[in-house]
Order: sequence, then C-alpha cells, then structure tokens
Amino acid sequence: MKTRGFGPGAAFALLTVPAVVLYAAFFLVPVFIGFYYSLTDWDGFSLSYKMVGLKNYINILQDKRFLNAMSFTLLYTAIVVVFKLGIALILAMLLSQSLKLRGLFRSIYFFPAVLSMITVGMVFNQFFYSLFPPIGEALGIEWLSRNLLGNPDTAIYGVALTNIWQGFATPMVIFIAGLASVPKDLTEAALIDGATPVQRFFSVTLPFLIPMLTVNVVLAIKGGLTVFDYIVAMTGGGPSKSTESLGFLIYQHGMNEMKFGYGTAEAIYVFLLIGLVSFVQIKLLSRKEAGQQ
Amino acid sequence: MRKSMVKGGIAALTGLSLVVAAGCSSGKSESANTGSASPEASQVKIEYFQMKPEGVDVVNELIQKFQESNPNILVEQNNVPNPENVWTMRVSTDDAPAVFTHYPHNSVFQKMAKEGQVVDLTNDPLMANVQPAIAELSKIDGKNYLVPVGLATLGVYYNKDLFESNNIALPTTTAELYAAAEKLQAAGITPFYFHDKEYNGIRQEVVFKMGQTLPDIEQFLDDVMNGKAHITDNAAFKPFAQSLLDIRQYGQKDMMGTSYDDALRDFATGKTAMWFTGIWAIQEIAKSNPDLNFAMFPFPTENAADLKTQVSVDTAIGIPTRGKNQAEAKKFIEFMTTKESVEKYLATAGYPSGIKDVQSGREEITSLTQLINDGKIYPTIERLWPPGLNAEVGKATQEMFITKDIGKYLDALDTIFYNVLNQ
Amino acid sequence: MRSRRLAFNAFSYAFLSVGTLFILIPVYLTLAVAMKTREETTKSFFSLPNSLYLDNFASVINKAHFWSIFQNSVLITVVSLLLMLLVIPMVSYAISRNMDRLYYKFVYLLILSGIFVPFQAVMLPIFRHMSSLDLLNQGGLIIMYVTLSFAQGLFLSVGFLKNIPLELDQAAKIDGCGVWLTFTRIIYPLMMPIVATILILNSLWIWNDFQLPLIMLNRSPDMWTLPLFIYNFKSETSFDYSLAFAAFALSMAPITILYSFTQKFIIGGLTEGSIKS
Repeated sequence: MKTRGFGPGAAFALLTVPAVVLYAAFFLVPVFIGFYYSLTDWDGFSLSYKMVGLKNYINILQDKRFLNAMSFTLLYTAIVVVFKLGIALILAMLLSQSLKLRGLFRSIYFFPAVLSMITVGMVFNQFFYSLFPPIGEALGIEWLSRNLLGNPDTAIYGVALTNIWQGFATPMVIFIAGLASVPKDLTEAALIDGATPVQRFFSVTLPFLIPMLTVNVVLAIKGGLTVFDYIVAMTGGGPSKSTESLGFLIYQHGMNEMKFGYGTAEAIYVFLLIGLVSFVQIKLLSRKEAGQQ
Repeated sequence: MRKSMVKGGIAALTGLSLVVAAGCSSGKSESANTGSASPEASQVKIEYFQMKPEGVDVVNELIQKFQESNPNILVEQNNVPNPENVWTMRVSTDDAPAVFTHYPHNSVFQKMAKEGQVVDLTNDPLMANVQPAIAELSKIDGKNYLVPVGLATLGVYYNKDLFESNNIALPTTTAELYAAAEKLQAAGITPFYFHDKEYNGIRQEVVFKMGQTLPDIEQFLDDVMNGKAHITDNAAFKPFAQSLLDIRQYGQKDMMGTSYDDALRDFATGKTAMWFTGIWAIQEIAKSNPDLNFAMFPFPTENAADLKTQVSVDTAIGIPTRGKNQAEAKKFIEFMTTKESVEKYLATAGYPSGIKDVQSGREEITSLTQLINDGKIYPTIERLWPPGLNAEVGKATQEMFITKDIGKYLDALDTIFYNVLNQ
Repeated sequence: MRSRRLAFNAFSYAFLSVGTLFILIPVYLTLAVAMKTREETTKSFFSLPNSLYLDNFASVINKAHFWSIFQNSVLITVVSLLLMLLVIPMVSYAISRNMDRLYYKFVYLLILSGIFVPFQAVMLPIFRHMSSLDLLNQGGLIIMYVTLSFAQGLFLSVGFLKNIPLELDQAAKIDGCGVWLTFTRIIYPLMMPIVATILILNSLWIWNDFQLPLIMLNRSPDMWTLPLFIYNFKSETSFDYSLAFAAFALSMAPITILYSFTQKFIIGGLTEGSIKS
C-alpha cells in the first residue's frame, strides 16, 4: 500500500535515525573501547600496556574477591527487589483507593526519590551511627546497639534498608499507573460474582499489572545488581570488603587500583549476568500478560 | 494538535541551538568567565588544579594578590571532588592543568613522574627556598618533581581538660601511654577513639607505626617485594600486630562503626580523651567546638630517646611536561612558595612547612613542629610501594580487627607484599 | 460490607500517616542540619535548630561560581529533557509499529541491551572518547545524558505503545496522514503519560547525578553542576555538615517544585491515557 512521496517505510526509518546515530557514536563506541581494554592489562593511565587476550576473563572466575562480590550483590539484589517492590505495591494499592488527601499522600511518599542517593546515604549514615544504637542498647539487642554498617554480617542490611527507603517511590508511581489501567467494569463484575479481595487481586488485577510489574522488576534488578552510590556513601565496600558490590568492585579496579582492563572484563560478566536474569524474568512474566499483542 | 507540533519544533530547535552554543562557548579554548572584562590580547590564563578543599578560600586570596602584580596572568583555581582520579585522567589524555598540587609520596603520581609526565624540578630555582631535608624526603628516584609547601604528620589529639582533671601528664613512652589509658578508663572516661569504619585511617595508622617502630622496615619490605623474604620471617611483626590490638582495648564500644567524621565530632564534644590522626583535623575540631581545650602530642615510642614522627608532604606544587604556559605557571609557583605566601596559606591549617624560615601557626602542635624542626623525622614508608598496595594493607588490618587472627593477618600481608615488584 | 470498607479506610489512613513519619524524618534531618550552626550540629545531629539560622544558606549561595553552577544544572537538565522528549518517542513509535521487520527489532534489542551495561565499565572510555572529540563540556554532557536515556526510555515507551491500538494509525492513514503527521497529531499526544514519566525519572537522575559531571566537567568550576559543588563539602579530611546539608536543601528545591507540577499529570494522565477498546 504505497502512498505518494516518502513511503511509510522510509519515514519510519527516518524516525529512528537520531537515536541510532547518537547511540552508536556516543555509547557503542565507548562500550567497544572498554571491551578492547578488557583484553589488555592496561592500568587506566599509563602510556603502555600489553594485550593479554582472555587472561583477565579466566582469572576473574578464580578470583575470590569477585565471587564474594557476586554473592553479596545477588543477595543484596534479592532483598532489595522483594522489599522495594513489595512496599511499593502495598502503598500503590492503598493510594489507589478513593481517599481524601490521596494527592497529598502520593506527593509525600514520592519524596525520597527527589533526594540524591549521596544525600540519603549520608543521612542514613548518621541514623546508623547515633540514632539506632541507643535504641538497640535500651532494648538489649546486641547487634542493634552498634553501627549496623560496622559489622560485616549486618552491613548489607543497613545499606539495603537505605536503598529500600529511597527506592520504593518510583516503582510505587509506576504501580499506581498500572493499577489505574485495570478496567473498572471487570473489578465490579468480580465483586458481583462474590470474589474475595484476594481472588480479585490475582485474577483481575494482577494480569493488568504485569507490564508495569515487568518494568519494575527489570529496573529494580538492574539497580540492585549495579548498586554503587550507596556503597560509596555508606561503607566504602567495608568493613573489610564485606559490602563490595560488583559495581563498586569494577570502579575500584578501574579508578583506584589501577587495573582498568581487569575491571572492564568484570563488567562484561556483570553485563551478561544482568542480561540473563532480565531475559529470564521477562519471559516468565510475559506469559501472563493481558492487553493487546 | 498543530500548535503542539509547532511548539515542539521550536523547543527542539531552541534546545539544539543551546547545545551548540554551550558546546562552543566552553570548549577547550580558554573562556575568561571570572567576571573581569574581556581579556587583553596578551593575557594568559592558567588553571591551578588545587587538591585541598580547606585551602580554597585562602588560595583565592593569594591568587588575587598574585594577579595584582601580574596583571597579564589570569589564574583560575579548580578544586574538584576526587581530585587525584581526575588529575590522572586528565594527564593521561594530554589535557593536564597548567599547574597543580599533588603528593610526592603518592604511588600513582610517582608512576606518572617516572613516565615523564611531570617536569623535573630538581635543580630548578623554584626549589631554592626548600629546606634540604624536606627536599630530600620528597625525591622520587633521586629527582624532585614538586615543590613542597606544607607538611603533615600524625599525632595524638588530647583533651586538655580531661587530662588535667585526672592528673595525667603527657606520655613520653608507650608504657606511660598505656598507664594514662588505664587511669582514664578507671575514671569512666573513654581513653581512645578509633575510626575503624574506614580502612583509610587504619592504613595511616599502620604505615605510621610500622615506620616508627619496626627496625629497618624499608629495607625489609623492599626484600619482600622483590621476593627475597617473607613477612613471616620477621619476628617483629607478630608483636607489632598485637600492639595494634592491645591499644584497642582502650577504645570506644563501637570502633568498627565509627567513621573519621564521627570520631572528630565525638572528640570535639569531649566524649574521648585521646584520638590518633593527622594534624589536618585541627581546623575542623576548632570549628566544631571553639570552646574545646585541646592540643596534640607525638605518638610515643618505647624509649623516649627514639622519639620521631612521620612526615609526609601534604601540599606540593608542580607542572606537567606537556602543559601550556609553563613560564607563567612557574611564575605562579614562585609566588606561592615565598615565605609570605606560605605563611598565609598555612596560617589557618597550621601545618609545618617545607619552605625555609616559615613560622608555622598553631600552638596546638608545637611539640610536633619541634620534632620536625629537630629533624627527628622519617618519611612515609608507603611511598615505596606500588599503587594500590597501601589500601590493601589498610583493608587487611581492618579484617584483623574483626577476626583478631594475627596469624591470618601476617599471611595476608605476605600475600600483599611478596614478590609484587616482579609481576 | 460498608463497615468493612470504613474499617479498611481507617486502617489505610493510620498506616499511611505512620509511614509519613518514616518518610519525613530524613527530610527533617536535612533541613534541620542546614539551619544549625556547626557547633550545634556537633553537639547533637538530630536536635531541632535553635533558631531560624540562615547563614549556611547564605554561605553556600555566596560561594564562588554558585550561580553559574546552578545555571549549568538547569541548562543541562532542561536541554537534555527537551531532546529526550523529542527523540525517544520518535524512535519508540517507529520500532513499536515495525517489530516484525529485522532492522527495527535489531535496533530495539541493541538499544535495550544498554540497560545491562554497568556505568562503571564505560566511565573511563566515555571520558577518553569525549576528550578526543573535544566534547568535555556542557554540550558533551547533554549528549551523554540523552544517549544514556535511550535504553530505559525506549523500554518504557514501547511497552506503553502496545496499549495504543493500530486501528488509530489506520484511521489516521485513511484521513490522509503520513507517518509524521500520524505521529505528531495522534500518537504523541496519547503518549503524554509515558512522556511525563520519562521526564520525571530522567530529571531526577540528571539533576542529582555526580559521576558523569565529574568526568566531563572537571576542567573549570564554571562548568560544574550542583552535585559536584555539593560533593566538595566533604573531603577526605573534613566534612562541613552545615554547608553540605544547606546545599542539599537548596538543590532539592527546584526538583521538588518540578515534581509538584508534574505529579498530577503523570498519574492523572496515566489513568486517562489507558485506552480500552
């Protein structure tokens, strides 16, 4: 079905040109540069380096520090994703009812997203140092009576708590939008049929939530697997490397420990990890999707 | 709908033109945005890449003074966060700032210097004003690449009121230090604060104490790094590690959870009698609590006669090999390293100076500056280590504080140092 | 039934109100420290300010380069957003309507895979690349922000466009509109909710971002953005809480205002925007 002048094919293609050009020139090029350096032993600033092929990649698989970072990051991501999205969903449901002051509440609950991560990290640093310990002492809870971040076993929870406090706001907004897309007539029909709230949620609401859930899960997992700002602001990877996330480790190697090639190779692994995880969960969720296509 | 398309188009065009304008106006060509009138034809602009945020205000004053007598030179101070990383990035892409501060004992700087990225100032007239001992201390492979202006050392901050009210004299030996700690602890006062949350402070403490107490440590570590010995061969390491643990028996409850800033605030509010860290904290403590009665004493050795303190160069100025406007940059350095300029620069911070005849400011550290003037000093041993090693030492020590396992610690140190120069 | 609903309502109010405390305590802390003197903060971090102490704000504003830094932040954020709001819907529309064709599917997956790339890996290469292109300035930073926004923006937009039925495209074609007119007259207005969402997400990111400005704008303080300025209050040896938190508070203000204007639009728009056949 051709029309006069530019065919739709050409027009569509033109629409993609700005994005493709920018993306190729300013993102793909650096990515390939990085990949190139992952095959070298470049330290990040010297004038000379050697090609070492896949040596970095092989060494990484045996590097305890990398494997520790991997297990830390996976555990951290699991905690953060579950709680962040869980709280976001609950709040979204509460804030989707017709309440008075709903708009005010929605504004307040979005506030954490407005602050920068470094700000939040610094504020929570103070909570952990001087606010929680006295409470822990009063209640006789040993692990709470010290700075959570100073204990290798509890530091992960301190950082996770901070991340959850700030990170639920955006998924909440996205869930509210998703909940709004559930057709009212379906919910009413279910009500008339006598379905319990739980049944209503799973058979009517959830299918319409899937697209937003997918978005939230992918973004939350990505955020968890690449956590960096909070680690920098709150623990510096410590105590004694117990909170080194993969993102933090890559940064350390690249910028501070003069092992840029090695760090980039680690990043390639992380890239594959995130890709794999996202791919799997998109496939799982798209089976249950409602809406067209 | 038409209107929104037009609006959208205009917005995009405006956006694009702004991008172009922004890109053009602040490109590589020097843009004199410092508020003065358009630069005269012969005016040269140099960037002073200054790494110490505490010094920004006083440096601005010095710059103004310099520009009064040198109207054809425009100096722009640039003090960025993470300055060392930024400096490295810029020098490695041939975009080095015209004049900068750095640290001669910093391993990355040393590597860059050895690769020829920094101008060799060894016999330059700029070094003429420097105290010979300090010039010697700042050498890298026998050459000077930076003019040392300010020195730093570490010592023990102490709360004068708490010492007085408990009748404690200033300790001159380690035995007296422990005795003082005992006395304070018995009186219900926290003797020491340790900021073990960050490995950086631990690293400073370990490097200092190794240099101060372990005999021939530089030679020994050199042997280890060249694969000729193991850390575990040296019998002095075990008691050394033990001493790090022992002194922490007199620390606060949550040492691992206390950061440098937290410790500073708690010292300033009198929650502890003593705190070991660098002299750079003086300004901050004074600002946090102007009423605090405090001073510093040198960290004691076993025998009072062996007393010495570590000296590192805290502020030093240099020029890059491929930098622009080197003549003007040198003129600026010359100004900044005169007695008057240095005294002004160090006045608030109170650091001792590497320049001859400079009176250094603060009375809180007279005992330390005295040691420095008497030459009872030693350089930081980490200046001989390859990049990144000192951080590893700090982290390994932090781990030992958690596990209290000295054997594992010494093995970890061995893994860090052994044969590292031959890889 | 009604009593159950009322009970649940009451519970919701109670729960939400208590939750508000958790949200607002850190915000309170930021403002409180900003309005205390250094000595007050040293004595107690959490105490209420003694008075309406505004000197910290004054000190921050009077610091050298503050206004040019502020302007930079505004300029970079606004221009980046404008460009994003133009380019992302364009490419999303093209891709979502042509998913069956190889080129579009390829571009979609290529851009989307960018989500998986950790920023730390490309930090240094971006620096070297932009340095060689002489783009280490505000213009180059804008280009980077727009480029890096594609992955997430495309993901959100294509997902959203699935809900805009092809029948609308066909109706427009029957009316004589080509691709561009269909896009600008019919599709783009319907995309407003997702456009608003992309706007708010990216504005938060750009306004508070520290890493990219650090590597790209470090050649002169005149080029900095607010996060660089703020980060300077904390160094290895000193942390000026009073000024740092005052600067945080000042930096929060514009973005809060922007949010309060757009939030009704996002959620309201998303509600109205869902089209059910």
